[in-house]
Amino acid sequence: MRAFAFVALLSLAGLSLAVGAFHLAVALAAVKAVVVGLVYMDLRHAHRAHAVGFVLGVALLIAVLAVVGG
Amino acid sequence: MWLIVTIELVTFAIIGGALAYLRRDQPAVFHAGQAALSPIVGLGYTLLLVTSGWLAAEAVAALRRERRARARGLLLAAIAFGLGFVGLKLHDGAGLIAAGHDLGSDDFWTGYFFATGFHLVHVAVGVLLLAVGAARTRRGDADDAEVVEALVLFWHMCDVAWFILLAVLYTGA
Repeated sequence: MRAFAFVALLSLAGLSLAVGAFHLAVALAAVKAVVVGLVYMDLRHAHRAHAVGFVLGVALLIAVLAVVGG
Repeated sequence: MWLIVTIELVTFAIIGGALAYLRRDQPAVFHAGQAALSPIVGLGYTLLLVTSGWLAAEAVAALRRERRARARGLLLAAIAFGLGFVGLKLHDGAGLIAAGHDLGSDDFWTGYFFATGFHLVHVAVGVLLLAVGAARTRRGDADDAEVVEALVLFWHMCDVAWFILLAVLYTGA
């Protein structure tokens, strides 16, 4: 799982830079943050409320960035 | 540690929001600044940080299984990649400054140097925390895994913060 997350994170970062679209890059940043949270920070094994809180926090942040960035 | 990580991520979110606003408010200045940035270098930073984060996560997993020597080796490797990030950032920053860009050049460069400098400080602190974690694996205390896990959590925060900066600063570079 951790190795898969590593490959996924690098692939998403490469895709984000290759495409060069701001809103897609912000969305992919959210996906990467959730992957790090669930897999590396081990939130998938934590209390469900913590994991949901993290995902919602990331979603809120990315929504704000997407709106502010235009 | 979760409280610290949350506060730090909110701080980076505010910085990211300010940069995103600048991107919309001054598109010409922003895109002119971005023209000096290399997406390849941005990917290089990401490779170093993500590899380090993976190794640190593997170290925590090894420590939970009481494989202390392996955990220590993985943490030292994570530190090496973290130092690689610091080295690349200093080299890249020196190149940008030599090209005539600095904190006072324009709003883009003020934001760029402030945001990436702030992140660099966190990475440096994270490397020190990983070193503390590596030293801790030698002690053999019952709570070592919990302590190292908390220290590594800070390191993963640096990853997440970088994803924000990468998206805002390097997209379209």
